[in-house]
Amino acid sequence: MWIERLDATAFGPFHEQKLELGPGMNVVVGPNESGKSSWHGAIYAALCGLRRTKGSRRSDERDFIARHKPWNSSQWRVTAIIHTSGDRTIELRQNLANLVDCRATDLALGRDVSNEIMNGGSPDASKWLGLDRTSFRATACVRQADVLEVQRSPRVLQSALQRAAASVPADSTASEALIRLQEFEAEQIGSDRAPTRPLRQAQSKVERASDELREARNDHLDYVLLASQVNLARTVAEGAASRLRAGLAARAEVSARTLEERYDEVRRLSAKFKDMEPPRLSGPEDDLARQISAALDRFRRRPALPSPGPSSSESIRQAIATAERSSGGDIEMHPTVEMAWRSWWESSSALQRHGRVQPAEFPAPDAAGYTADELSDIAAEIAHAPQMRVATRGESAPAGLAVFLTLGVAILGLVAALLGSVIPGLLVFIASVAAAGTLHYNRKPSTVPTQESRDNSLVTRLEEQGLPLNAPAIRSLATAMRDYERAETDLLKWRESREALVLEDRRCQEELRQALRDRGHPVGQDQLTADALQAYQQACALRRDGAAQSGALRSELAAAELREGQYAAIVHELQAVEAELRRLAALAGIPIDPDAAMEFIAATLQGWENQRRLKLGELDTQQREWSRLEALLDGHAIEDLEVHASLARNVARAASVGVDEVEFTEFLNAFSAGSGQAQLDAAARADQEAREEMARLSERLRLRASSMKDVAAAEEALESARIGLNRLRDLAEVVRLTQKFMSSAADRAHRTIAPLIQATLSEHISVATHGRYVEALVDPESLEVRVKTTEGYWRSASALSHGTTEQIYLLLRVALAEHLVVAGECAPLILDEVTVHSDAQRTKAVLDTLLMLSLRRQVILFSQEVEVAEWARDNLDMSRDRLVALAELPV
Amino acid sequence: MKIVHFSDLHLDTPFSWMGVSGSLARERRNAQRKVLERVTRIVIEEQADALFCGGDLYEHDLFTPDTGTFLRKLFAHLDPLPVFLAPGNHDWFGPGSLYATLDWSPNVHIFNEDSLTPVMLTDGLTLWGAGHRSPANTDGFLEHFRVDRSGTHLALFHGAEMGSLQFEGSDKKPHAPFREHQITASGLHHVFAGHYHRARQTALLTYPGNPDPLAFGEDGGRGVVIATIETMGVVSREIRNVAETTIADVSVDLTDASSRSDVLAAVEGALQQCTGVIRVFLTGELAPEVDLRLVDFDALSLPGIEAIQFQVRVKNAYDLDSIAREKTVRGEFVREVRRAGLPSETERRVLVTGLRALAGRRDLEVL
Repeated sequence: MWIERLDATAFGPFHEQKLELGPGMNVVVGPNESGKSSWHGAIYAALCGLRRTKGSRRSDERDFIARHKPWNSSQWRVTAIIHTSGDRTIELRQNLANLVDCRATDLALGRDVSNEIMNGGSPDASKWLGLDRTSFRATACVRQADVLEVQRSPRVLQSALQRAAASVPADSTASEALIRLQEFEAEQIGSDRAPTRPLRQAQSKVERASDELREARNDHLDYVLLASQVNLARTVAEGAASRLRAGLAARAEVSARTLEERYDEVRRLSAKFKDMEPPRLSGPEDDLARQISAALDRFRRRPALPSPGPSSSESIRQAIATAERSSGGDIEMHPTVEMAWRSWWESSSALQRHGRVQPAEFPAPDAAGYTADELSDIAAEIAHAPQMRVATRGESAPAGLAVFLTLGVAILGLVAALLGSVIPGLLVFIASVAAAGTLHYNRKPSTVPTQESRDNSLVTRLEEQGLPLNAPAIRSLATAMRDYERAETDLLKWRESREALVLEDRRCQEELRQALRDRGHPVGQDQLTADALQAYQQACALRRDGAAQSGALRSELAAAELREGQYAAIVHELQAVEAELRRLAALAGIPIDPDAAMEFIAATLQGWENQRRLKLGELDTQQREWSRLEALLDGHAIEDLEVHASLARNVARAASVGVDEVEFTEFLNAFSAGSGQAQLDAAARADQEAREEMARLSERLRLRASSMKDVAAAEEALESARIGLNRLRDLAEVVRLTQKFMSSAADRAHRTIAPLIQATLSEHISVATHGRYVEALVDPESLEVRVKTTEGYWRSASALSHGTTEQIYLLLRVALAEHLVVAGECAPLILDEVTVHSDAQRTKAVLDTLLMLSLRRQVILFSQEVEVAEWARDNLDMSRDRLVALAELPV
Repeated sequence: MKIVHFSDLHLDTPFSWMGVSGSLARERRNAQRKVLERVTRIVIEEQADALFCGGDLYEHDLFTPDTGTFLRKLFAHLDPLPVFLAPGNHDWFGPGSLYATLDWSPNVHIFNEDSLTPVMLTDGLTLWGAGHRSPANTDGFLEHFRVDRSGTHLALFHGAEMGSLQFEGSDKKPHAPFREHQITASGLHHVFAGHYHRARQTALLTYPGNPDPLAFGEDGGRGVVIATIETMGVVSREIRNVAETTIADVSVDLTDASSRSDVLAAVEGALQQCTGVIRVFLTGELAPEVDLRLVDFDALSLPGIEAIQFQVRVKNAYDLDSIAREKTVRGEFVREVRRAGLPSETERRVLVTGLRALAGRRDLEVL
């Protein structure tokens, strides 16, 4: 953008004044009071206009108006012709007096384009640059006052540039905005832990309202519950009252019926016993009747004749006698028999055991009748002399005698057997014969060697006897002979002991047989002992059975005798009963046939008794009815009873009105069953309790209702509190988000701005400072500038000389303006007396820098300095630059 | 036979929706009672033969004992004219309900069964009624129902005709649902119902709507129905407004307002002719420099206005597109906020708050 011409129709001191400008460097020079600052303001006003407002203006606006509004004219108007990107030529007309006739017109199209740049109600051409009138003035429009301000405190300009970097209106820096948000949050919201702050207070309000609502709801719930309880109690009370009414009505009904029945009965009985004496119930037949009744009772309880038993006592007695005759003798083994039997048993057992240990029999070696000793001698003899004689063998006298003695014993045994002791005798005989045989067999020839035989015949004898002729064979034969002799000795001993056992066994058998005989049991001579013993035991068993049969018969006999005794007693009782019946029948005057059966007599007497009972019953009824009549009247006249019954009926009728039929019937039934009064009492108690309960609950309900809180109001209060709290929470969230985005945006913007400004500064700083400083650094947030000397030292720009500081901050403005301006546009740089504090050398440097800057943007420099005018004449290219000389304005 | 039918009065309801509490809300509840008194006066003036209430007469969870006394006395005042009450889902018949616990006058008949039971109105004219016995899950009363006698048959209950549900908004629950064709199928000639707050009248069905406002935005045509039952159940009806409370929505465009005073003046001007309860929609583009807060409206002098609620739907007249093009922190802030995808209202408030903070303002709460 560049400004071609300015028409100050009425602006400050100007009236119909014009200012022609070129697109490059424009130097407007003039002495004091020549209108430089007014043209500076006019350019600003033509470009940016003034904000329309109905309220009060800001101080800078008020200052601008005071400075530039014409004193002596109602008009205040300025017009500019500018060129913008896109080769548009725009006429900007600003009627600052009323801010109505303000417009921007595209001169080529003749179209009003004000709406593209409207800002605060009037066109603001700086918007085409991406700025607005505030930021434009902060960056591209430098007044003399701004320069002076930089001299006093570079931080002021720095702050203004920060605001420009923060916001096009340049009202506030980002840091200030964030602080403002924090302060707002602290004051208008606060934390939920700060009791005096709105958020905590709103939370407390919600909590209190919640408690109130909870309490109100509980109250309401309690009330509803109580109301339902009262309702239930009322129902119960109504039921109880209904039941009580039914009970009372039933009782009245029962009373009425009782009196009516009493009256009816009195009337009936009175009619029955009219003119009658009271009936009596007694007479002379009472005693006879009692006897007859007792006799009939005895008859009815008479015993029945039992059936005869299977056998009579007599027949049983005969059977017992028969059984007892068949018995006599032992029924169990007699002790003497048993002792003998045990002895025999032991002896026979010993004999059997002895038989099982019989020694074996050895065959006799062929020793030609020599004994073992003899054979040993022969062997010795052969060993000492080759020729020996053997003496002739002969029998010894003692052995032969033994044989004869033994045979004698055998003969004695045989005789004994023949004389009666058969078995012992035979046993003795057999044993003796056997012993004799043995003795004979065991006889050995004795050798009596003589010297001659020993010398002469030994060999011969051995040869004859077939014996070997060497000593070892004879000794071997001697050994065999000695074994044989030993075996024979053992066998002999066994046979001797066996013989003793056999004898003992025979003796025991004989003792047993004798014992049996002693118990009267015959034992045959040839009968074996064992058979005799068995026969005895069988006889004992038979006798034992006979004795048992006799016992059973005796028991049967006792039962038969008892039965026969009872029978006789019954017969006697029946006879007595019959006699009594006959006697009483006679007393009663009832003729009885002598042959009549007892049962007939009893039936006749029973008939008599029945007749009499009927008669007595009638009398009894009459007597009781009479008594009943007396009791019913109870001293009253029958007319009195009639009146009572009538009154009771009226009462019952009144009581029954409206009562529940079912309950009424239940009570009537209860009165009939005798429990009516008890149920009526219970109903009365229930009625009383129900009424008391209802009264108690009703009072509670009344108290509850009187102190209830309004639930709807509590809900509204809570809702109102919640709305307030939600408003604060929403606000807190909005502020939080705003802070977050603001911080983030500031960071991002600063990161973007800093290098651009830095680059712009560095590009021009060397020329602007005559090579004293070669590089610049810019703090992205504070825009504080530091510059680097040629020696490489960094120094803060605010600490440099005023002139250098001005130049650096002028460059900073340019850099910021370049950054803020939209792409494709360049903001014109409008400077008023920016070199006034510079020396000649520094002024030239500034002018050189501006000339360089004017290659890319329009620069309008107002100055009163002659050096500036001379520089302009020397350096400007009049094809695109302008030098305008202003004359002093007339006073 | 002439009857007066109403429903859905909702006595003792809270008026939070109206944005009021305390004495203002209490006044609204008193106004509800006046509506019912007005209904009974109509009954007398019209010489009606009966008064029907189609349920939701009061709020079971909120009623006060005083409301019970009020109802008992009011209906007793009509004695011997019969009053038929059909409990709804808000005033369901329970052991602690006013219906069950009050000592009603003999002319009051409460349909306390959850199936239709008959009452003879006149010879040949039977009224069938039923009530809700729980706050929810009540089956439709016309399910499996069939009249069991000759003559003309009316019904009175609180239920949702499903064909009309769509007009009631999404938060309306279909309690005791039925369909219009069930009316004729069950042998009934006409149903006087309650539940829907919007009045509806067909040849077979009458919903009178809520007689006093229960929400902003309710249209007219609600109140009590004065119905004459002709032969064969033909019903001629007149609906009469009995509301004590008037509500209105007013829109105020703040585009031309450049200061708080302008806004207040605009609102005052818009409400000059209004009475009752007003909901004000603040619309238009509000100049960024206007410092406006809700408390500012407290200072308004608005005679005839009983309550006022503000709905802020203004746009703040920032040229956000232009600002977003700035290479400043402000431009970056606008871009970041727009990129964040916040809900539109939150985005608006964050942007305005931030822009105000950057503009050095301290009125950071955005309406």
